Amino acid sequence: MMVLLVGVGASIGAMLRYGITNLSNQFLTNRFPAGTLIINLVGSLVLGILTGLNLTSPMLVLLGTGTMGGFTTFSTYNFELIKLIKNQKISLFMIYLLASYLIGGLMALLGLVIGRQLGA
Amino acid sequence: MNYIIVAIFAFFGGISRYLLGLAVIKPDGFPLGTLIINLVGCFILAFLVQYVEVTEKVPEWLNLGMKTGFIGAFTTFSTYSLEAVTLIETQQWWYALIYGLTTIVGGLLLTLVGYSFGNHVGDWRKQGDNL
Repeated sequence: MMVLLVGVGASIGAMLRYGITNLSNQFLTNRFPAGTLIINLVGSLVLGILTGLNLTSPMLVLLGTGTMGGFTTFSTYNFELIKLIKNQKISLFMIYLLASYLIGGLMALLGLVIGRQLGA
Repeated sequence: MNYIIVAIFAFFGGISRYLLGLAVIKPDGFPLGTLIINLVGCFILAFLVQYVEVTEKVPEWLNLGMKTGFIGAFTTFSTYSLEAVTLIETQQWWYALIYGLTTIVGGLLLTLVGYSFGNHVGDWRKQGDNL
């Protein structure tokens, strides 16, 4: 049962990711992977909120493990980092690396705090 | 149509992540499952991208499904962020440091290794076909 919830959640998350990436390539710059950055930062915030809320286990598995897990991505992020190095965009590489990890961590922490407040 | 392909492959990518995460023991609370999932995913994605580029033989739907759908949903950034922050919050400094460094360096390294493997395997495949 939990397995199915994760699968359905991941499908929804991945479709959202696909849509946002397409929009970002169309309307924002495609010189910098802004789409993946936004996806990973928003996903970290939302997963933090969901975890802080103290949801029931099936809800957390569906929305957190499934949807946010499927929405955010680590493999594409690293592939884009390597592409920036290969294209010798070293300062963009550094910005992308630091922004993702540092702001991603802060977003998760902020989410936890917000979730705990809302759930209390 | 593309959205449906992404959804179907992501269904299995998410489930694979969940089951692998359950199967891997977490030694003393260290999030080893996510680390392994993310590093393996980096290798596979880079391998696929390069293999597809060299061989030019993979149909577009399969390419989209595997990369954006399966591997995209298999790996996760949000869980990593949350686990790293939780390690810091619970003052497990060494684990936080090790988790951060292995994720950052390992992700880049395995992407490079996957890239190079994809190149070679793609070349062999192409040469084999031309014989």
